[in-house]
Amino acid sequence: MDNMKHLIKICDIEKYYGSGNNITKAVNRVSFQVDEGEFIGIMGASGSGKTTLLNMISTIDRVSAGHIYYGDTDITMLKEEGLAKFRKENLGFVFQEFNLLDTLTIRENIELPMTLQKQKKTEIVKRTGQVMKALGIEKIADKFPVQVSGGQKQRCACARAVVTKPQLICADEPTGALDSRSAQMLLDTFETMNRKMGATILMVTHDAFSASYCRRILFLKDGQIFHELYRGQETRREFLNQILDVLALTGGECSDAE
Amino acid sequence: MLNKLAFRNARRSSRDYIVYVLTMTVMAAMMFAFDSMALSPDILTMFREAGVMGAMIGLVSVFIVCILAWLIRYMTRFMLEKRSREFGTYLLLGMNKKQISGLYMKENILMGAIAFLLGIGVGMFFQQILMTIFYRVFGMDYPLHVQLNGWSMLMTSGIYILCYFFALIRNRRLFKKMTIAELMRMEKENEKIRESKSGFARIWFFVAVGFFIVYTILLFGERYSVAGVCCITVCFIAAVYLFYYGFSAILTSYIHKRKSGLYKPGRLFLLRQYTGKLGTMRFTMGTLTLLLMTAILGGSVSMMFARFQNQAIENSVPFDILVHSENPDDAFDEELAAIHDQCRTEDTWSYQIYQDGKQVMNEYLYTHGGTVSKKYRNPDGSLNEKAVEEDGYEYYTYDTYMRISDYNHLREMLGYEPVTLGQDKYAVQIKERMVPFLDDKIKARALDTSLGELTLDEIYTIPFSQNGNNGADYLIIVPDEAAAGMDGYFSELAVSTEGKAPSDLQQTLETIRLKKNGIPTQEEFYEMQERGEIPEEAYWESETMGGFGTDQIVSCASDVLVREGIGMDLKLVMLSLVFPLAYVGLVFLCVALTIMSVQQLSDSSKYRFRYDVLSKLGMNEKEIDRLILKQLAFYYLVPVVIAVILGAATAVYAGHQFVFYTGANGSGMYYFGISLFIFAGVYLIYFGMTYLGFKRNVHYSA
Repeated sequence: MDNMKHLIKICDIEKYYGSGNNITKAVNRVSFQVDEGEFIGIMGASGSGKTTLLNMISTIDRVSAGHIYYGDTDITMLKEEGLAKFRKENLGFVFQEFNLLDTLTIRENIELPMTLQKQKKTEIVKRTGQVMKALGIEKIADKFPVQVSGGQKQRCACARAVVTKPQLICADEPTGALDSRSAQMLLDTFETMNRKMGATILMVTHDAFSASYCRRILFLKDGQIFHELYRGQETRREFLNQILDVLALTGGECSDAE
Repeated sequence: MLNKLAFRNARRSSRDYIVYVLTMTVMAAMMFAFDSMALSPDILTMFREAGVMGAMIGLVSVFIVCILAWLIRYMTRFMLEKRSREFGTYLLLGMNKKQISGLYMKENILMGAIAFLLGIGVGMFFQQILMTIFYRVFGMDYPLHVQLNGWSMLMTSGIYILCYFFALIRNRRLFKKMTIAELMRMEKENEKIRESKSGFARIWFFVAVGFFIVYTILLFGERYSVAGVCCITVCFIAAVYLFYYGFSAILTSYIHKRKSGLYKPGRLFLLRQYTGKLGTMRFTMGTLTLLLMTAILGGSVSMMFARFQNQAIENSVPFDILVHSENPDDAFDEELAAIHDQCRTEDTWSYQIYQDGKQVMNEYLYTHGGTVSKKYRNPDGSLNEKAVEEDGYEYYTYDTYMRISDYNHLREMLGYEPVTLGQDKYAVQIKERMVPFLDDKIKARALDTSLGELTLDEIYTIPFSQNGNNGADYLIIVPDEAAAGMDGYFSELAVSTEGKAPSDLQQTLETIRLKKNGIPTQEEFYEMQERGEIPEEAYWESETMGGFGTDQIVSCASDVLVREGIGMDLKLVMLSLVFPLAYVGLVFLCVALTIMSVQQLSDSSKYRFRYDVLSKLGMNEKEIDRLILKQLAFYYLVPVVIAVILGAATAVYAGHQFVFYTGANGSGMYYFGISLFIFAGVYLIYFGMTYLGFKRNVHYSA
């Protein structure tokens, strides 16, 4: 771990809503680092602030206080235009509801972020082909999202997230809308992306089974990190049990889906 | 409870579909303004022919009812689709279909009533504008005041209710057949991704474009029979729809080819948006194109008449008073007495028109006169005498001549310098429109007169009342000595008055003339017909002129022409075309633009999601705004560009025909240009409203 470079440094970030006496702290002084090539999970009950935290790290939302560094760049200091550019060049997203464009085919959905980066046609076609092959979706390339299953849609979303080789892939409850088989396939896909393609992944989930695929897990409660788990050399099964133990401590608000 | 719900829903719908409510308000306002003008007691008492305006407004109201009923029906269905889930929920809660359709009907009627009431308010303002324009045309001042009369209110509300009646009559049936599952599903019906078949369907694009080219060529070619015109119109409408069918396929095929251009930032997204929209909306797009085209054409034709009215009066009645008499030696004593009795005169001049028993010019114009030549020309180019005998009312039997001294006196009365004739020369005074038909052969014609042979000196084209009075279309101006050797044909009396002649002088002079010629008045004629003294199939004919000229579309021929009387009537008749045509054009335009706007705005929730995804993929707000502009511009521009191109061809053709037949100033392009200018103003208002609303909707949630 120590020889790994810190990719992202999150320093004392806070997010509060409301004003005057009526302030709700969604995220309260959270600090941690993400290393290059890590697959990190954030777990917590509903309302614990995990999605807010992800949104701030992924530039979708702004911090109320604190700093987020990507290498030497403090993204909390960037203006709207700079943030959009940063997002375009450095981040990939996978959402619970897939967020695919229904007017574009699977292939076109994957090509879209590369076209926005003004890459050459040959490069776009080549890279899209590679990613689709790696994630096993070449056969459905010319179908529209409505014509494919939820699992396939989510793999397409993963392909779209990874195709631009971003520094970080942010996944917000990626298995939330999938059946258990599709969820497992998707998590295998994440592992492939992480191990074979070297993608750094930050995944928010309330599902222990999904979380067991991560190498490290941060547990969030009332907007603060209250526990951290490393998988180390443990098997996934053992790691799952550890996660469930931690969840039991919190009152079992998170799902324990097998 | 249901009433309360209906009220709340109506309030919400009014907010969501503000463009629709505003359009209905403007429609009600226009109805009120036009109806109240047509039925204004002031105008009805001021003009003899004021009923024409009422009749024309009544006629166009039929079209307006149809188009507005269509808009309302379209909107109620559209809102039903968007709210189908809500209606499904009502069913689930235990309401029956009758209650729901009643509720929906109430909501719509409530929205309509709000728009109507607002519209009457706005209409009072419109009324002032219309009335001011109307009075200004007649050179009168209009003291601003609201005119509310029972009949116009009744007509406006009647038409408005009729629109709603036709639109909502079938709505109940629509609910009757629907199940909860269907209602729940309906919302998503429009969202199916339909990819056009890019292969065969592409052909339709080329077929349609090919037809449009052929259509343009056909327009400027032969004249067609009614059946031919109907056939071309049907093909034209079909081609417009096929165009969109094919266009969608062309775009899809471009995407499938995956050329480098597709990979430019935002291009793929936009093209897919377009094909998606065209796939589901091609029929609507076709209809919108036709509506917009009708609007442009209505506007162009309206402009033609608006601009031509002053010219028509100037050409037809340049003299303050002009009276015709069949009797070449008429001294016009009775007429002069009546004129002196009613007004002060500056100058009076009675004169003869002569003939020499020849018909060279007549024959030439019958066979070369453009607007009528087809009717009277034999295939070998000679005159079809039989056709002239049966139907030839355009020219006098013999060529018509005038003395140079009379001509100069009349020129002076009209404010023109006198002219001179060279030695052994003659001149031609002809309508400006007819000049192109005079070829070298007729210009080289030598007149054989008592003075010997005369050759053509000059052609004059001043407005000269040449619809039978000062000749039909033309007069040959000869030296007085030459005329002395000819026979008197008929006589005329021209009068310049000091100030305006009273407008009822027209009636007085007509009565004198009828009595003098032993012609019964219209009332007497019908009484005689009732008594059986005149056969029933006969119709009243009071004019005694032997030819009326070849003016078409707008023609003003009368034995008695009092500028203040006939001129006002002519203006009123022209306004009776200008206002209703502009009215129809504006209504069609607003209906088309409302549908475009509502479609885009209500889809913005769907687009909101798409633009949100783009934002997450790293597009900034400015780039997204540009993309929105491009997307809206495409949706707004495509039907407009097609309508403008096709409308331009048709309007320019119509304009040319109008100029050809009436001799109006300007060209088809000119009238089309003005109409397009007004059109663009209304268009930009709608586009601006939609763009701002759309942007707000997209960014609001993002």
